[in-house]
Amino acid sequence: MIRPTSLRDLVLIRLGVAVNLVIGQIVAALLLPVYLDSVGTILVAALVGPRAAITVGLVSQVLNAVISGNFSWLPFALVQVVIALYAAAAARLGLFRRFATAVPAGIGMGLLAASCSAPISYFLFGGVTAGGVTVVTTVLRALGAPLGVAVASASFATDLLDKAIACALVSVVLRSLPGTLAARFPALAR
Amino acid sequence: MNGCDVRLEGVRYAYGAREALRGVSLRIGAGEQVALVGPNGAGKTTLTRLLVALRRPGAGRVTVGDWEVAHKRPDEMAQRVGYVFQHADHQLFARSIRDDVVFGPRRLGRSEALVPGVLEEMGLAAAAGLHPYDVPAPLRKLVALAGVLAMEPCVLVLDEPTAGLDRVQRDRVVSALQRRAEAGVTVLAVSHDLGFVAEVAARVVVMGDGRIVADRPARELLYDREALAALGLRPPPTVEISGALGLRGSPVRTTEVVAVMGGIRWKQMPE
Amino acid sequence: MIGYVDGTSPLHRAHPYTTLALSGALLFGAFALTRPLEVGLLVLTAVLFAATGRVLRSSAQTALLLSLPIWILLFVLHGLLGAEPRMAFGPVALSVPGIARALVLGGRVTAIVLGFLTALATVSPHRLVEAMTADGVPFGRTFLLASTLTVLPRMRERATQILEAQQCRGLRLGGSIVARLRALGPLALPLVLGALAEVDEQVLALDARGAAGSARRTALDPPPDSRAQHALRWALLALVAAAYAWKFWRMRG
Repeated sequence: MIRPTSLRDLVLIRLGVAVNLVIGQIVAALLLPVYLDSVGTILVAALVGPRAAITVGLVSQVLNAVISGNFSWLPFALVQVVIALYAAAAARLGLFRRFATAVPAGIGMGLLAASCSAPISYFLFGGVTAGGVTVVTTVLRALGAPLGVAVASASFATDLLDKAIACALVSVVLRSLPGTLAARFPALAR
Repeated sequence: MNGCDVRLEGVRYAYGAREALRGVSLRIGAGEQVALVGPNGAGKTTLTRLLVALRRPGAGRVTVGDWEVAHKRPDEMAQRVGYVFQHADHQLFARSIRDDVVFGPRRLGRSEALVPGVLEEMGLAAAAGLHPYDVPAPLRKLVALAGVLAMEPCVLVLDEPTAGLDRVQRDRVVSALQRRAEAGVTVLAVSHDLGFVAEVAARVVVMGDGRIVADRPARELLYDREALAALGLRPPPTVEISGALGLRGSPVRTTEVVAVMGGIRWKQMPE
Repeated sequence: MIGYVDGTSPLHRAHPYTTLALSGALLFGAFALTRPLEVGLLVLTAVLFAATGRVLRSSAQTALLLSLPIWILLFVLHGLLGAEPRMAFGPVALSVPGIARALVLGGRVTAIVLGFLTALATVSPHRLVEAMTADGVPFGRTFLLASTLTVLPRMRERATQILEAQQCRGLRLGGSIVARLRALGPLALPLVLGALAEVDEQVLALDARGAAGSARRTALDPPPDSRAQHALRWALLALVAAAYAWKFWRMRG
């Protein structure tokens, strides 16, 4: 498993990071209630493998912090690692080949990601995290839900939607790859 | 083809503190072919973006036919104005060239009947089934142009359409535009390529520093060596040749030069 | 302001690892502290850190701006909606434990952000790369961090252009949620496919520049390190470890 990272893998990792950080621009233009900031991680997991995908996730998290200044979100890097591993496994099982399997795979990924991010959000930040999730948390809390429940439901709702759409999008990307490009990713053939 | 004249009145636009357009007024008649030239940063691209509502002017009015552009979204403007981006090869996404060309007409709810003809025009008929990213970037640019032509716009706006193309590809763009001109389509092309400008434009608008600094017939400006030199440009080859030979009638297009030269009885020319 | 600011402060002159270790200690230390007073001291430390780098004004301004929304949400979530007992505060009754909690959580975020903004403003990227090279860090890692930052603006520009181009082909950005989800394809696909299509070209270009060579590179201008700084970094690590040990010991007790 341990092999020196090839130049090509490095370029693909860079691409994955760039996709993670830039896709938000498109999501924002469409006013969608998600982030899709792990599309690059999932894509690299499917094209290259888990090791490269973990790197994409971690580098994205660090660069996000460097660019936005919000360094306190760094503990969420753990979630990125989990997503990378899950995505690589899902790709190996061929779940991204069809929409019908990619969406459930995304829901599973969302469950897993939320189970990791909700405790981080609850214990380290008292439920206050990135924008949209916190608003949902606050509304639930105002409606009388205990803080733990509010944080968990908000995280699960947003993560499920986010990861389901992200996996569906990656599935579309993989199926749209031109033949010459697809042939260059042996991981895809599996 | 009415409703396709383009008017800008006292238009200003600023990116933050930097003024890109400082009061531009321009009228392009329906069916007229105009080239927009000038140095980088003169405001050419900004001006064209205003025509499709991608930018909103800070002051002034923009109209396309009887449409007030200020009241339209870019996807609505697409019904009238076809815009070909400089890096148009970046916008393709479908799994075949044909599917990508069909996207625009389908979005506009128009017939797809033009698609095969447009593919033929761009020399893409044989490649229509290929994946757009399996062909080289210059061809992808032609795919994007085909996609806009298939939308049957009555105004065509092109940003550096010949950049990166080879001679044959460039000729295809030229003849496609000449055919649209004959059909009465209004054309506005931003270009540094004066050879291309000579072939497709009857009028040249020169921009500098957010203003229009000259607006002259192509036949006149392309022969004005000094004015071109001031822009860092040289006359196109057709003009150089006809100037050197002292041809009559200031021909600028290749076909015109050939026609004038064909009329000369070369054998009787003095040595 | 976010980013490097040229200067001659002690933090600018220190070895890049030392400055980064200080901000890292603030990050990890923050989560070990759980009482308002402790977090107050943490914020004070972060302020001193920024002042040492002579970037207090700009860094503190940005840090406050960035953590303001968090403070507001914390105040609502814990102060207004927190547990009993409550204390009348003008027209509203605030939760006492909630306010204490908001102070701890908000202070943490502000201290961490201020610490990293200071590091960002005082660690020259060039010196950091030199230090990493001198340390024998493989090219790949330094390449990743440095080149991704240069690729991002180009990618952003491309995303903007794709958004514009597809609208000009009749794609509407608004509409029903289903229509907006469907629009993701024409917008996201060109971005990803275009970037993937350029991968091989980029690999060739980098290869030609000898980027693949596994030979260890020589740093041309490695920043000077000292025994004292080395010791300081170890001391910081020990301090953070001690803070966590204390936290867990207290939790048991």
